[in-house]
Amino acid sequence: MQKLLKSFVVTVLASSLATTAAFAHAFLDHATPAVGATVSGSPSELVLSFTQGVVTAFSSVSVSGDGGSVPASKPVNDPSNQQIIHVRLGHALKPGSYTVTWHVLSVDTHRTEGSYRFTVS
Amino acid sequence: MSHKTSLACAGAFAAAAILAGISPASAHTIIGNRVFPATLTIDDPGVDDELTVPAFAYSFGSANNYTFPPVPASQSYEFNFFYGKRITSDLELSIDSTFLHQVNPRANGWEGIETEVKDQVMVSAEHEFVVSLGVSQAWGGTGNPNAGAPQYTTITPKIFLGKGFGDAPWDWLRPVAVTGEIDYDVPTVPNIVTGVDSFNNPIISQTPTTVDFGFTIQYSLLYMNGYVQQVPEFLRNLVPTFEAVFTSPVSNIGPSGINSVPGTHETTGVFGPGLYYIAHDYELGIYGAFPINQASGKHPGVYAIVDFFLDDLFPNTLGKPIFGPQESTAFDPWHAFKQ
Repeated sequence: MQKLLKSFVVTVLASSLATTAAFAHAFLDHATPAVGATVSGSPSELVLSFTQGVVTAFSSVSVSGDGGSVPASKPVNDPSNQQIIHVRLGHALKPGSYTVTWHVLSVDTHRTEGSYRFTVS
Repeated sequence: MSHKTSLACAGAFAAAAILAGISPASAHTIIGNRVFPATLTIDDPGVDDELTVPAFAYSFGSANNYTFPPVPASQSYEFNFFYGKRITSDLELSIDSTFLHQVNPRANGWEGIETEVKDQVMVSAEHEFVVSLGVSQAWGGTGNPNAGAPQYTTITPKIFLGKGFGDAPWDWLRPVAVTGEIDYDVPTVPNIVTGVDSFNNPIISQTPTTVDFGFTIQYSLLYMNGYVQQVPEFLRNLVPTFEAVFTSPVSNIGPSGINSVPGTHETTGVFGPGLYYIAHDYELGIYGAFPINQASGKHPGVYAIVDFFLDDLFPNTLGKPIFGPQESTAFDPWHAFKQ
């Protein structure tokens, strides 16, 4: 039994180090600029990577800062990975704090949404 | 069963009784942006399509040195198997059973079948809030009496609550969530025969009505990564927790005596830290259980879980409600107050 327990603990640790999660619900896994990050200089686009494939036709991403809404393109899937979407910004971002708000539909039709902030220094 | 054997078994099953109150059967729930993992001490607050194979619990009971001969400390290993199925987006039926392997005294067998109906009565996706009501029935006579399975039925009304703090104005608080559960266990018979004394007279024991209550405090790195601050990849799927669960006898307790079964006259419980890893379509978890008193156990125990998310594995068949839409249609108090 102790062997069983040890092997379970090892499995937990090994999984946490080796596996990337992907739910049926599309949750944000990582982004560029990163969630909560401070970047030097304006990014030209946002890249959002989700835990599951996203249907861009029924998804949206908006950006707003102190000066109001920032013009941005409609999201498009990365040609090599349906879990990644790209959003081009309409103009360079001035230094300040920005909020990215996303609404996505996963390929198995679950809707999720969320927002995060990043800062341009 | 002789009196001595009866006492020995009763003492040894005390730790198992605590676990029976805990019921490691569980399921994960997604409310808005919040994933409430399947926790090991209490059930999660919502409904889902879920298969647990198994939840594992190891506990070390107390010795009872007031009896003659003294009852040695028991060690028990429990394997709980659980299947939950959504009938509608807010209503779930589930069935579970637990296999016990115990040392001191040795016992092996199934502890009986339990079924439950659970309904989400309040859901706010925006505020990551859910309240559910449930009723479970532990069916008497469906398990092995040598493994402590009762030969009588117990009916348990339950209330569940979950709240994520993703709507909080402070970033440090947003990954936090709390869940809670309160059960009221009502045995359907007031007394049972637990053995015979040396004069061959039956020994009658009362079956107390108990309240089980527990809570979890969760700090979701999964949530933090997606909504607050990106974290290193190997931490992204972890949800550390602090959990506690207690059982208190409230009525039909019977007279207290030196031969009383530990836990039948006092509150028992465990507390401790947990850690859950939530992957694509499964979850792994481990929990360290520290007993609050001697009646709750002599040494820390360990619980673990392997849980498969059927709604993710089979989203178009086993993993969706039989009737109605996928999304909850339960009452949203925030939405109602706004109107």
